[in-house]
Amino acid sequence: MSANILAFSAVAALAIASGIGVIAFRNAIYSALSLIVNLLSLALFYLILNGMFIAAAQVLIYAGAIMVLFLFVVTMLSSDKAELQTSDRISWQRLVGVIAGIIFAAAASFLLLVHAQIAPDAAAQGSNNLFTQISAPGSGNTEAFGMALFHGFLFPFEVTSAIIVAAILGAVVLGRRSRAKSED
Amino acid sequence: MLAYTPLMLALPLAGFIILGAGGNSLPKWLVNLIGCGSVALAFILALTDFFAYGASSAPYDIVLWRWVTSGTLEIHAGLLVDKLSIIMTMVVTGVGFLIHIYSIGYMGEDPAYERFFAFMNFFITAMLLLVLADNFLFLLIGWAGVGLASFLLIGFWWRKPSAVKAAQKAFVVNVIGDFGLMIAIFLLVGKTGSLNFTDTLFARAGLFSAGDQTTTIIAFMLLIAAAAKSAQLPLHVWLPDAMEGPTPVSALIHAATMVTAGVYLVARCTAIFSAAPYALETVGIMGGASALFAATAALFQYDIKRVLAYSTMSQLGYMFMAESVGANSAAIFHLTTHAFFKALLFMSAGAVIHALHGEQDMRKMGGLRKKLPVAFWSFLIGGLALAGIPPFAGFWSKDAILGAIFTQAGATGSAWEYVLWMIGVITAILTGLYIFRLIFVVFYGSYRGAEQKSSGGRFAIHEAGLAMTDPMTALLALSIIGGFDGVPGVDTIGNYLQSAIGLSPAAQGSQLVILLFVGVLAAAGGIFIAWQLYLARPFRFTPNKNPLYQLFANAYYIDALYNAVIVQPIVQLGSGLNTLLETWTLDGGSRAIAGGVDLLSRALRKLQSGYARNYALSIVIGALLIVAFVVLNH
Amino acid sequence: MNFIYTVSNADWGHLLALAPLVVTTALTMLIDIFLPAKARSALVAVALAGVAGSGAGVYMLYQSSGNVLAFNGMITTDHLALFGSVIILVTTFLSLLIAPGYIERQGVAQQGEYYTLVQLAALGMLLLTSAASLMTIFLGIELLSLPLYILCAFSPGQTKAYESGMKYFMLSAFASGFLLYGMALTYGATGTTQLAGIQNFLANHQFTLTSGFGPYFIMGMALLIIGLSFKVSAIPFHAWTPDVYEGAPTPITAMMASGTKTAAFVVFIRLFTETFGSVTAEWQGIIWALAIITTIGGNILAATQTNVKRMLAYSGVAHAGYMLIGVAVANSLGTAGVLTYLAVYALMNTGAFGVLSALEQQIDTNVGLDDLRGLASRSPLLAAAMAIFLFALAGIPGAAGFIGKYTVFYAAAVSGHIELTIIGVLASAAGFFYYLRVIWMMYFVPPAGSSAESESLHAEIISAGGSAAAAKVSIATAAAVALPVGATIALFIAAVGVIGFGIAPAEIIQLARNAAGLP
Repeated sequence: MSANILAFSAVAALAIASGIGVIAFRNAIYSALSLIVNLLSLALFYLILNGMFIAAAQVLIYAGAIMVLFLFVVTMLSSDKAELQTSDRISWQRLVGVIAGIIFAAAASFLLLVHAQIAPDAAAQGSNNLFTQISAPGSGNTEAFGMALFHGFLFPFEVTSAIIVAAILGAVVLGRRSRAKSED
Repeated sequence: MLAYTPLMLALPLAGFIILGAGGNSLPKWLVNLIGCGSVALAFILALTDFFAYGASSAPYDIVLWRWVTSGTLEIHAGLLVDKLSIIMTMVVTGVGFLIHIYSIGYMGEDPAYERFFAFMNFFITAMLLLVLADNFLFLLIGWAGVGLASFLLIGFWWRKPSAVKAAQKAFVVNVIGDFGLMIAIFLLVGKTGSLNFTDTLFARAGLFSAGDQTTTIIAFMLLIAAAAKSAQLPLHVWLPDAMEGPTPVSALIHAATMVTAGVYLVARCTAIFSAAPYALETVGIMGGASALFAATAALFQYDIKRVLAYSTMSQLGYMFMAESVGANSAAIFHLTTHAFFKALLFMSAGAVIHALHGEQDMRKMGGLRKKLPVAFWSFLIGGLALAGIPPFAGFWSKDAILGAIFTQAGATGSAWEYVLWMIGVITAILTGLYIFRLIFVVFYGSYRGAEQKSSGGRFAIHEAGLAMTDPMTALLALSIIGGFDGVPGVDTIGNYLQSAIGLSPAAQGSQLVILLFVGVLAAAGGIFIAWQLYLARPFRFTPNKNPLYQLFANAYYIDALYNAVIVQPIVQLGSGLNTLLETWTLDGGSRAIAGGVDLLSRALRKLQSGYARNYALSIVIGALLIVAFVVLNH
Repeated sequence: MNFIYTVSNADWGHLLALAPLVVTTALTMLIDIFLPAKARSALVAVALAGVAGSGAGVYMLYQSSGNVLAFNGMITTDHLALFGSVIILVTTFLSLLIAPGYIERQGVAQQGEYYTLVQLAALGMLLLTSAASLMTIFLGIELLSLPLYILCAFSPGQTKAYESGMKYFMLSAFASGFLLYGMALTYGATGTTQLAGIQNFLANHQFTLTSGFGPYFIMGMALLIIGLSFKVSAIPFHAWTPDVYEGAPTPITAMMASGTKTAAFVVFIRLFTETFGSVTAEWQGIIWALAIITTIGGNILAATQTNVKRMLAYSGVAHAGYMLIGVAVANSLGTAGVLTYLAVYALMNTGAFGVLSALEQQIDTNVGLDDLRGLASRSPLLAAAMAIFLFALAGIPGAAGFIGKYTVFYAAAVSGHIELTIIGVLASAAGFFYYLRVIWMMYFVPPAGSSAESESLHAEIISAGGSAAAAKVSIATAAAVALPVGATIALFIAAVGVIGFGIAPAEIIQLARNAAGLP
């Protein structure tokens, strides 16, 4: 148990640090690299929760495939460095934003960390849930995931395909347009 | 026959739709036929209703269709015919018809002729809906509709900036009234669970118990609505300005019909007001104050129509005074006679203005008695009726009100009601004074305006055509005989209305004689003063610096007060907000960023110019407030 | 391995309302490939057929009885879902009818993608109304948002369009973060993502703020409110609305304004009034405050606008405020009020945006108040339609919008929230003016370019360096507005609907009451 908490704390610190890094770095490449670390730390969370398959998928798809594309784009566009310079005009907004964020986090932590605990039957209900079956140790993790996906979670799974279609179309629309523009 | 009542609404509505949609392609005679004919038929229907209803005392409810029915609350599009609504429909359609005829002559040369008739028909529809609705929600439609019609007709000559301003002012005040009525409606439905008159106003006794707080608030909200519509203090400011509209509009909407909607509403809601003594007392205070205030303000106006506007407000004050002592039928009686003689006065004022090509300033008139005999005689009879000289119509109704107040004061021993009666008598003196000042200055003496020349060079002041003089003659007759149905002791109209709105207290015996005598004396006194001041020596306008004079002439500076305290701050706030929101915090600056940049650079610039970030910030702050609420609740 | 749930044939039957649109979405993409560029506007017929098919599906589901939940409690086809679906389908239908003329004018080449994305967005909205699980709610929101981001930026070569799409994307993603966090906490507190399960859990557990699952739950609820408030554009989460509405193609704005609002409000009702119904005291205050701020603020902001599209956007904020009053009432009566309001709003708002899109076919820029000058004399029918929609939006007694307001305010008044009624009535009375100002412009102010004036305008624009073509367009404002067939039909349907609604709303009120579970 304490090992679990220790591992969690370490990964959580990593996740937060890399998250801040994404927005704090002025160089877009550093930001992208921070994002990779962030996504990897998420994968570690899944591992701690026994989610083998999803951890692997996270690494392969996000940290691997998608981030490579990101880096491509960033390096292609980074010649336009002036665009990435943050002007100081907005410093007060950043200040207000940071303060608001800290207060928000403090309020949420106060609420969630003091007194709160998971109701036993909520946990029981959760473990009856398909989610828990997926992560049950010892069972074939990937197989269970697949079975759940095509039974109880079939509908959301199908819906995601529609979302992907929308995303692809969007890429086509915006991409084709900017090409048409550069040909002018 | 009563089942045909919906036609009364449908005909003017059809007229409005036809004239509004295709009026400009119709020949003028057809426009006249549709515009006036629909109202004439509506009047005939009102008359048949009157005879068909007879002496019956049960309200006749006509359900047109299911309207906003939800669950057990059934609110229909329904009409209710009872004695009160019959009287109202006869006044609205009868006077309305005469004014439509008059408009043929008065508006004859206006390029938007058919639109005028479309709006007038729309007004008649809305007004009939108001007086015929069988529930508050349906009434509200008519209530808002007449406000809208009033707005459109005041602003009919929209090229005049003053007309547009007046229309807006009227609309603002009317919306305040609508607000009051709507709040009353929602409170009422919360209290009683229904909005139908049969379930609320005519329902079992004890639904509205005296002293109940909600009932009192409902009554006050209704009072706000009534005050706004009937131009009573402190919501009267729109009425004098509304005279910017064409004169037939002033005659129809701002004298005979729409402004009486408040009087109708209070009479209709007797059940609520009688359970709310504070509200009823306020009705009296408001009426008395308005009557006196408007009469003094009318004394020193030089615009012929503004005198009549203040006079209307003053007379409406009488009606509210009557209602505050439970003399509803006296109020309705005065409402009808007032509709006759005030419409007549406006029509003759219109005839004068028409003859002088739009001149409304009394200082530039004079000596018109010979040149405009019909207008003169109409004005004289109307003036006598207004002042309350027997046997003209206004005498009987005004004395019914004064008698009722005096009798009620005697019955309850309330000092306040004696004060109210005193106010009534003083106002009667002032009424005689201001209206005969008007008549003497306009029709006697010598002509003071510029020479009116037609193209031929001849003196061009001439009487209006038959379309205008005929309806005047009809109203002239009504102003003479219209009061005989309320002669004390007989009181036909009061007895008729008894089953609908109760019997008015009335003076009896020797007291009655004394009161009638006081009434005549007051009116005659006022006329005598006018004669001394404006006829005995030739009228000459001299600017007067006397502060009291200035106070009266400027209607107690209430307009200026509202302007300084309410209008200007709102305007300032509005423009300030606009600057603040559009130019500063939001994205005014982003408009300046021009250029064709592609999506990404555009997006990045957007991101960095901080405006989208501002929005995100407002989301964060909102989120913070909500979470703070949750935590502090903790 | 023992699974709790296996998908059965009955489950698929619940997709009757969604399936036709899915099929036509695929068809649209397929046909687009084979059609020559000139014939692509025919694709709108495919999309319309899909919407009509979905409408038929909704009707069949309405007729059927039995279990409303399907797919392991992921979606439901109860009357609330069906009522919301009909509103969304009507909005989409009208928006599609307006679209061809508009996008042709805007020079959009990718019509196939346009219609596909519109159908996908509609699918997302439909999914949202029938979502019965936190998971489907989130998927629905993503499915409706993603196509809309792209559609907002659809007009080629317009910086405002890019700005619109980009802002919507960023802020929406931001708000989705809140929503997702809220869902996670709610799941953590109750152990289930199914709304029925959450409702059950709350009914069987004593809620306390200071111990047990309480803090998780209340935090999750607060975050859910934030995420959803963004979608209905409640103040202070509204700031994106005018910018996004302004830059998006007007048919999309029309669809977004009422479709998204409908979907989000149905979720609001399902989550709060129904699922969290046993802990009303915990959330009512927040919604109450949001309703008041939004009602008042929306009207104030709308009153200061001179751009008609922005004015309508802010008025949409105000309308969201009135609807929030119905949510804040927290009972079935309030729900019925919101549903009635949504139905009215869909017709009158889509109609108003439809008129704007017709006008924009002649003006390159957005429609300002001045562009409406004298519209009544140029295009009497268009002006009359606009007047009908604006009167309805203003809620002048007797117009359709009044019915919506009445049902909501009535619910507040009889449920002991007279203060909400008073604020609502006051705000809507104040709101009359900015709608009326537009009508005044159309009917009582002469057109800007009447004869002599247009000549000088022409010269002015050319001398200012503009092309002659641009000058021609500006002057075209003074001419009659030509309406494409589709837009004419759409405006006709909307106008008839609005008038009919004002005159005889009893049936729809009854349907809304049934959807809210009232007799």
